[in-house]
Amino acid sequence: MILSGITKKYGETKALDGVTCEIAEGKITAVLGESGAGKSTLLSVISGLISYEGEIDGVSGAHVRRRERCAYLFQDPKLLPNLTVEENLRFVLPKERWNAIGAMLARVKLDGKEMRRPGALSGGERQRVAIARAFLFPHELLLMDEPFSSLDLALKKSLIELVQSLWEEQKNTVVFVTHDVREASLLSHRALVLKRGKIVLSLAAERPFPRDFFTSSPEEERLVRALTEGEE
Amino acid sequence: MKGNRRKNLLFSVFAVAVLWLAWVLAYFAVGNDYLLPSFSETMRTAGGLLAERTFWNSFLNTLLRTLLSFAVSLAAGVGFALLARLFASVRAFFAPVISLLRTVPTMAFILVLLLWTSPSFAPIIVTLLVLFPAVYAMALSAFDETYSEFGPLVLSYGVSKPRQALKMYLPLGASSLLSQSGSVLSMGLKITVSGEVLSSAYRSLGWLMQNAKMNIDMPRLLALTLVTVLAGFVLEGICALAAKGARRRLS
Repeated sequence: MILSGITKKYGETKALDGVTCEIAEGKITAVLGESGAGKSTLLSVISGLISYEGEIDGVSGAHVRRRERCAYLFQDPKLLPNLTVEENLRFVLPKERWNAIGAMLARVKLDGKEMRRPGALSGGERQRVAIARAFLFPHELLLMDEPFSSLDLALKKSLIELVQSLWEEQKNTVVFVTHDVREASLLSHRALVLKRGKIVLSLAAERPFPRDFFTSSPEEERLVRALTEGEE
Repeated sequence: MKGNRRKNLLFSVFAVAVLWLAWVLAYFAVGNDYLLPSFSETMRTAGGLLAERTFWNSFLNTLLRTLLSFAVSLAAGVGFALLARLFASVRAFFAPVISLLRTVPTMAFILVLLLWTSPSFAPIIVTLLVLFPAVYAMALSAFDETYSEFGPLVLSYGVSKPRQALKMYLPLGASSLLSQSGSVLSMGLKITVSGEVLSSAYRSLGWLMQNAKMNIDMPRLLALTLVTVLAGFVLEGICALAAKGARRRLS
């Protein structure tokens, strides 16, 4: 997917300012940036939820259309409290995917909890349901908007490992927004640093998964530098 | 938590005591039983009402009118609010209609409807016309709240509108709707009685009140008012219980 000169304005403020980059197919691309850098706006542009100036794959933002086959993993699991785990998955999945629910729930270690409501699950379990939902949904693109940011360290580690292993099975295209350098280096093949709506660094990290959670990677220092340069 | 509940109950009892004291003071200040009867006499008359067949007939007729209007306005209000949440054009269509219904004085509705319909039917339509915009606004706000939380989910996953309506908006809005419908229902009772007073709908609380007024029977008039207020409280309580049940189901 090639993004050329993507600009998004909210009034006079430019949330994205001529972003040009390539999202590699079958890879995980992390978009790093501080709050207000334009990360979530970029996800909304890619998913076709908002209009923009510029082009994606040669299609102008003036003809924006919601992507049909796009899964989304949010910061908050967004599970309907009135539905059970299984019903939550059925809610978004097409009927032909319903028979895969059991296997996926076992895969994310939630077997036996199909009939529980979100209120009866822990925070980590709820996010597992959301991960299962995203990977079960027949998608060509998975967008993740800071899905680990509100989790404690142990939970973050286990969920990052889960996403790594699910990605290994599907090898799908993922765009992953985060403000955490460690998350980006653990879970991406390329990290883009977004600053005031512009990409200031694009850094490849092709080491194979699983990556060691406790060892800092060589690219982390460059990412931190790019994020903090010019800041007090 | 328990302490807070006890404290709140104490404040409620205190409020009732203040109202009672105001009545007693007003009674002595007015000093005329025809204009303002004593509290005890009003209570005695209210007790006597409960033994009257005419009262029960009238009470049930009024209650039936209120419930019928409420049911229709609930179905229409929730249904149209759901459509308004799902389709921007429906929302735009209803915006001026709701504003109009809200601003037209209730008395104007009653007077016009008295010319167009029968005295026993007019209060139903009036209540419906008053309750519908209230229920519509209440439901739309509940659905908007649900959308603000789950809108990104249904948009990005492309969940069909019927599925959104049945699995998301209606069940999640139910608890908020039920908790607010108590006040709408008691307001409905108030409007129905007003309509009945003006239309003199035969065998209704309004009709009884009108008769009491014509006979300058103040204890009876106030007793009927007291019964209406109590009935409103009971209806609100039932709705609050139903809302509590719905919330428990969600947790």
